[in-house]
This record gives sequence, C-alpha cells and structure tokens, in this order.
Amino acid sequence: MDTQKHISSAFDQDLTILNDALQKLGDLACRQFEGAIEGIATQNEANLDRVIKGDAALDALEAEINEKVMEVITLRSPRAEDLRYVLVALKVAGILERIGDYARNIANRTKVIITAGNENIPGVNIGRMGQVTQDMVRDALTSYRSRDAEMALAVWSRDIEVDHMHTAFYKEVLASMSRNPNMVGTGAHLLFIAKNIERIGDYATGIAEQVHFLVKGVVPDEDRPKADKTSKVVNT
Amino acid sequence: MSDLKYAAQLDAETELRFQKIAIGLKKRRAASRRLKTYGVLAILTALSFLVILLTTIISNGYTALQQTELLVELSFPEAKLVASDGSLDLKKSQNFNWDGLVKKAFVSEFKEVKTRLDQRALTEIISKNAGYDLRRQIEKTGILPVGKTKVWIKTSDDVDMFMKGRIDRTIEERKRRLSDQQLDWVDDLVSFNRVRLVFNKTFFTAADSREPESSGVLGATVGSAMALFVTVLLALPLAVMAAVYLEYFAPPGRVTDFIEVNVNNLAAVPSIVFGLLGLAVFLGFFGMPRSAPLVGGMVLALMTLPTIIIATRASIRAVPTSIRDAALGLGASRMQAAIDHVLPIAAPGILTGTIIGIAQALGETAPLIMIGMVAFIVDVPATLTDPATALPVQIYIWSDSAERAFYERSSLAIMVLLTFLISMNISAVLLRRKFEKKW
Amino acid sequence: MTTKPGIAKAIKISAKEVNVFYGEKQALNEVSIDIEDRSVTAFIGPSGCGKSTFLRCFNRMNDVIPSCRVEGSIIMGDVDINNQQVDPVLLRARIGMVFQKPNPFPKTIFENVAYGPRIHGLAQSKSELDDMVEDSLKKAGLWGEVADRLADQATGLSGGQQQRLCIARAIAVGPDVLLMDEPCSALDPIATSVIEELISELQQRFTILIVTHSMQQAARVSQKTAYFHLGTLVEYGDTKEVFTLPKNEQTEAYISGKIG
Repeated sequence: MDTQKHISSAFDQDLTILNDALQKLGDLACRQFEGAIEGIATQNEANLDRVIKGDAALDALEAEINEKVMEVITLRSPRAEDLRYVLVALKVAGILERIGDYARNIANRTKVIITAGNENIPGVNIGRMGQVTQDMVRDALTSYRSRDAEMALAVWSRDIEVDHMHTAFYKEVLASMSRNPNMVGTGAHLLFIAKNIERIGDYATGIAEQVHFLVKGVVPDEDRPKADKTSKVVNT
Repeated sequence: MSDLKYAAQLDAETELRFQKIAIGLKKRRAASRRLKTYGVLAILTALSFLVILLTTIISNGYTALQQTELLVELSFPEAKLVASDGSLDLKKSQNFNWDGLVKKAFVSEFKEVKTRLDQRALTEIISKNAGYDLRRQIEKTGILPVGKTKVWIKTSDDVDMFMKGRIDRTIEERKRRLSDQQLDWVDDLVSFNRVRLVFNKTFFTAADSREPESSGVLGATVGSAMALFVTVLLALPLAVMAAVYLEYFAPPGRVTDFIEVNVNNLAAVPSIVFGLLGLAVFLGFFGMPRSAPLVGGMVLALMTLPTIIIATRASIRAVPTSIRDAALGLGASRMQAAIDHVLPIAAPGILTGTIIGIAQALGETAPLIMIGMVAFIVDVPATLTDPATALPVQIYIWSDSAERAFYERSSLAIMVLLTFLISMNISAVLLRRKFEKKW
Repeated sequence: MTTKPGIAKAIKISAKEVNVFYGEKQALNEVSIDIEDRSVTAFIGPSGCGKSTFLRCFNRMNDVIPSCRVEGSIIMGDVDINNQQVDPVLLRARIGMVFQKPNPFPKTIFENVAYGPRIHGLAQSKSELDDMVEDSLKKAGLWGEVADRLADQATGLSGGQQQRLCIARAIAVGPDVLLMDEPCSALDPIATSVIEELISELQQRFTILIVTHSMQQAARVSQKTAYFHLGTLVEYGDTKEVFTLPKNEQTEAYISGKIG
C-alpha cells in the first residue's frame, strides 16, 4: 500500500490485513501449483499427498478474505481506489482458491497415473507448459503486489503461448492413445491435467485483468488473443 | 470525601488528583459563599435605601390625601343671585361677593370677636379661596339653596397643617404660623364638631394654585400625558424606521459609522442639552408657543429617540437571521422582509424599549424647564398648544415654596409620579411576557 | 443502468470564472461550471472550501453580506444573474432556496407556504391561493400530514416536517431551480431519507443544486458532483465516476477520507 494514509487508522489496518492475507493466499496457491507440476516429474507420492491435503488451507484463507472484504465494505464505506481494491481482492481471492483446486486436481490425477504404473508420460511438454504457466501466475501476483499495469498486460498476452502448448499436447496425447490403447486411461487423465494447467493460465490472465482494473479503473479493452483450438480437434 | 470514591480501588495517581480537587473544592465553596454574601449585602443595602426613600416620602405625603374643612351656616341672598325664572343667574353670580358672604357668616358665629384686628385674625382660619369654592359648588348645581344652609368650607393651609399635627403647639408663639388666639378658636370649633378631615379630592381635580388647599396635580398630569403622547407619536415611528434603515439599508462606510456613533452617544447626553436645543430651535427659530405640551413632547421625543433606536436595533438583531434569509430567498424585498417578518418578531423588544424610554421621559425635569414648562399654570390644559406644566416640574415648583402644606403635597405628587413609573414598568414586563409566549 | 456519456442534457446555468471576495480575502477562485437541466448537482468539499458561498451566488444571496463581492458571470437563459442590473427579487422567484436549519416563519403552516405567492401576486383569488398551497404541500410530500391543520403554527412541526414545509414554501413560488444548502444536516437519518427521496422526485421538475457534507448523500442523490477545495473547483463530473475513478488526486484523497 504505497498510497497516503487514511484519516481513520482502523481503515488502514483493515486494508493491511487484507493485503497480507492475499499475499499469503497467493504464495500458497503458487506453491500448490509448483508442487503439483513437480510431482508429475518426480512422481513423489508423498509430495503429491501434501499438495492434496494442503488445499484445505487455501479454502479456509479464501473464506477469511471474503469475510474481511464484507467487513471493510460495511464498516468503512470504501470509495474510488479503495472500493476497486476491495472488489479486486475479492475476485483475486476467488481465482487463487480455484487455482489451488486445480492444483489439487492435477495432483490427484498424477497419483492415479503413477498407481497405474505408466511411465510413458510425455512429461517434457507438460513440464514446460507447467513452467510457463507457473511464471504467469507468479508474475500476475507480482504485478498485483506492485500495482504494475504494464506487467499485468504482459502477463495477459502470454496466455496465447500456453494455449498453443496445450493444443499441441492435446494432439500428442490423442496420437499416443490411438497408437497404444492401453494408454487411454492414462491419456485421459493427462488430457485433464493439461486442461487444468491451461485453465490456470486463463486464471492468471484473470488476475492480470483485475490488476489493470485496480490501477486504471477499466479492464483491458482489446480482446485477449486466444489460440486454444482444442475444442476443434477431432483426431490427429 | 466518600462521595469522590466511586470505584473500590483507586490508583495512587487518581487518589492524589482527587485529594487536590477536594482541597480546591473547599476554597471554591468558600469563595462562592463569600460572593453570595456580598451579593445579598448589596441587595439589602439597596433595598434599605429604597425603604428609607419610600418611608420618607410616604410619611410626608400621605397626610396630603386629606383636607380639613369646617362647617359654616349661612343664607344666600336670593335677590342678588337668582334670575327671573328662579334658577341661578350666572352673571349675577359672577359679580357677587361670595368671599364676603362666607367671611361674614363665619365671623358672625363668633360673637365675642369684635375688633377688626381680631376679625381679620379669625378669617385667616378659613381658606382664602373659600368664597370661590362655594361659588363653583353652587354654580355646578345651578340651584340656590333657600334659607339657612350648612356648608363645609376649606380651612387655610396653616389650620390644615395644625389639624394634621404638623404645627407644634409648644414652640414660641412668635415662631408659629398660628397665634394662640387662633389656636383657641380652632380648638373651639373642634369641640363643637365643626371641623372634619375629608378626602382631598381637589388634589386630583385641580391644577396649580397660590393656596395649597386649592392646588392639585391634574394640570401637571394632563400636561405630562399630552407631552408624552406627542413624544410617542414622534419618537416611535422615527426611531423604528431609523433603526431599520441602520440595520438593513445603510451602506457600510464612514457616513453610516458616523451616524451610529452619534446615535449611541446621544443616549448619554444630559437631558438639559435637549432643553437648550428645544429653546433655541423650537421656540427661538420656529417661534412655537412656550410652555406648550407640544414643544415639551418634541423635546422629549428628541431625548427618547436614541433610547428607542438602540432598543429597536437590539431587538432586530435578536431576530434570527434565518428568518430574514428565508424571506429574502423567497423574493421578498428588504423592506418586505423587515416589515412582514422581522418587526413582528422584534415587536416585544421594541415595545419594552419604548415603554422604558417613555418612563424615563416622564421623569425628566430639566429640558421641560428650559422650554418654559415651569410657569405657574392654574388651568388644566385643553389642547396641545395651551400652556402647561409637567408632573416632575410641578413637584419641583412645589418643593421650592415656603408653605408647609406644599411640602406635603409635593411628596404626594412624587408618590403619584412613582405610581405611574412603576405601573409603566410593570406593563412593560407583562406585555413582553405575553408576546414572548406567543412566539 | 448508467447513462452513457453520449446522452448530454441541456445546460441550465453556466457559471464562468466566478471569483468571490469577502473584503480582501478571496473565497472562490475562477470557478466555471455548467449545471445540467433537471438534474441534481452536488457540491462537496471540506469545510470552508467555498461551496456554500458558490451556491449563494446563484440567487444573489451574497448581496446581503456587505463585504462580499462577486465577479464573473452566471448565465441562465440569456441573462447574466450576476449583473447588477438584474433585480434579485425577481431572480429569487425563479431560483428558490432551502437552508441548512429548517427556518419556517413563526406563522401558520398555510401562511408559510402562501407568503411567496402572495408577495409576488401570483394568486388572483383566495381559492387560487388555497390551490397553490395544497399543490406545493403535495409536491413536497407534506400534504397528507398537515391537510387538516393548516392553521396550526409551523413551529409545532417536527424537524423533518419543517424542512419539507420550507421546501414547499420555496416551490410555491414556482421556480425552476432549487438551491439546497445542506438541507439534511439538522435532521435524523429517517427524515434525511424522506427528503432525499423527495429530491429525486423533485428532480424531474426542477434543476437542483445541493451542498452537502456527506459524501454518501452526494453519491445517493446526485447525477453530477463538483468537488471544491480552498475556493477552487477541483473536479466536476458524473457522480458515479467521481466516486469510483476520480480524475484528480486531490479528489481521490478527499473521497477516500485521506484528507479532511
């Protein structure tokens, strides 16, 4: 919070609490996602379990943030930038919680794949996609922390890369599945995992949009460039 | 001090603070008790002076409420007074020697008084105006009583004073107003029940006179009333309009400031200065009649003007500006706002100020003396331009004269004046209360 | 829904470079503003910022204060209100005013409302006057409460009723503009809500300028908001924008409660 202090110090305190909570939620979500992606590579079941169990903390923190936002609206009547901040906090908290859910989902499915014992996971692509998406999420959160609208816009336009990777991976998995019918089960999970990562990328752009709104007062004008053509793919 | 300890436990700091307060409290209570005592003493002193004043005046004046009369038997000569139709002929009455009739009748009752000197001494017992009074009495009824009639006539002022106990028998005859012989005659009359004390109606129905027993305050009262009537008629509208102008219309600047300073200062100018002004301007320049209530009223109006202006301005200022703003906001002109809204609300204050100003004017002597209302006027004035005198001036004149009887009359006149002043002030208070409740 | 900036209303009053001085001290500095017709415009700002002074320029109430000097032009129609040739008495029949503390005259309810029409000679007969009074009281939302006691003293009404009476009194003269100087600051919250509701009804007929200390109130009742600070007009725009995305830092700071 770099802006001037409010006359009401209680108001400043509330905003600080909100900010800290969002920081914490952001860190948790990032770590959950990182843990899930790492788990695909290392196939360490213990780590994956930790990710799965860790999701409860995110849910709880998001609920706290919701409470706090309602309190600030009721008691402090925020206006102008304060109002935008509070509304953005609400939305970003929701997004981060869902990112956490997807991370948990990825971990769950990874565990199933490992249990099934299939090593033929085209993990390299997933790993790269995961990495790019992780960077997006982290950068989005940084832009939120520093209220940097330019950075947010940059994140916003990186999503197209993730979309490309997703489409490519999708085709690869389909090809794998058609070549090797045993792989269908694993393949299906992989498709979901990839989809989740792609969704997390979308969420990262969502955070970036909110940051833009917070700083400039409007969401970015132009249509975001999209390149997710998976809905059009039938077979390779 | 148990009343200071609300809480069961107090920390050291609070204890100390309460102790300091307790000590201070004692001093404060003592100081306020002293102050109360001083206040009460001051009031008692003032009250005692008031009591002394009132007691002196009343004790001197109450006897003037009575007049000594004595009984004389006489018969009226019909031929000299009656007209052809049997009623009283006023022309004949005018030429008739009433005085002689009364004196002769009186003297005839004292068979032993023979010498002229003695007879003169005897007639000094009755009022010099006895004949005139009798004539007025008979003329009022218009009928001449037939045969021997008993009439009550006023005694002279010296006998009057003696009957009221104001003449000391025991001092040397040379120093007394009544000789021993005269006193004996009076004692005689008293023993025959031919002397009585009646209510002094003359005091309230007659104007000034050379003889105290024939004098009254009516002339002065009417003169004062007329003058005050003129005062109110002139001063009230002028003052209210001047105040409204100064409050609402005068442009801020040197001229307005000058006027304001002068108005405030005029309220403190000694009243005799206004008398001089009246003398020079009204009498000298305009040639108005001297001693007239009209001129007296005009001079008093000048004197009262600043008082009423100041009271009116204060009342106008006491009206909340929001009322005026509301009126102006609706599109009322400044004059409409003032007349429709401000003045009605300010009216009680203006009224009070006016009554107080009039009460002040009622008691003013110096300016009226300057314009000549100090003359000896024996008639009750009938119009505003008739010569008249005013009540305080009348008191001044009487208190100056030698006769003891005038002294008691001036005290009674003071009581009359005070009664008027008190009733005017009371009415001011009552009116104010009545109007304030309405608003 | 929100009105898009494209739909512009007609301009009712246009103030240009208004400067106001109390003696040597300058209270308003080059204020220019266009007031929209049939809308509510709120003037907000900290104490002493000149908003009430500016409001009073519109009906020349500043003339009453001897040391006050108003420069600049305030154009309504084709007349410059601030021109000394314009008669303030006539002006105030077109621009009415409601004050901070309810100030009914110490007369009957009827007399209060009838005073304006009476002095301007608007009613030809007693029955016409009665109708005008009834109409104004109805428009002010007070008729139902006082119809059977028009001869009662106005000072016997409650605070909120008195203020509505003052509004009725002002509109009885038939103005097209209403100036309101913190009309609710002396009232309790419920009376305040009633008056605010009244304002949004009146707005269909009158152009309303309201000075208010409460930003909530400005946000609730107005379509346009002007923020004043130390005699200068800092920002003027659609209320929604001023309260969500003010263009000026100072405005932002005031609205968020960062400066008093």
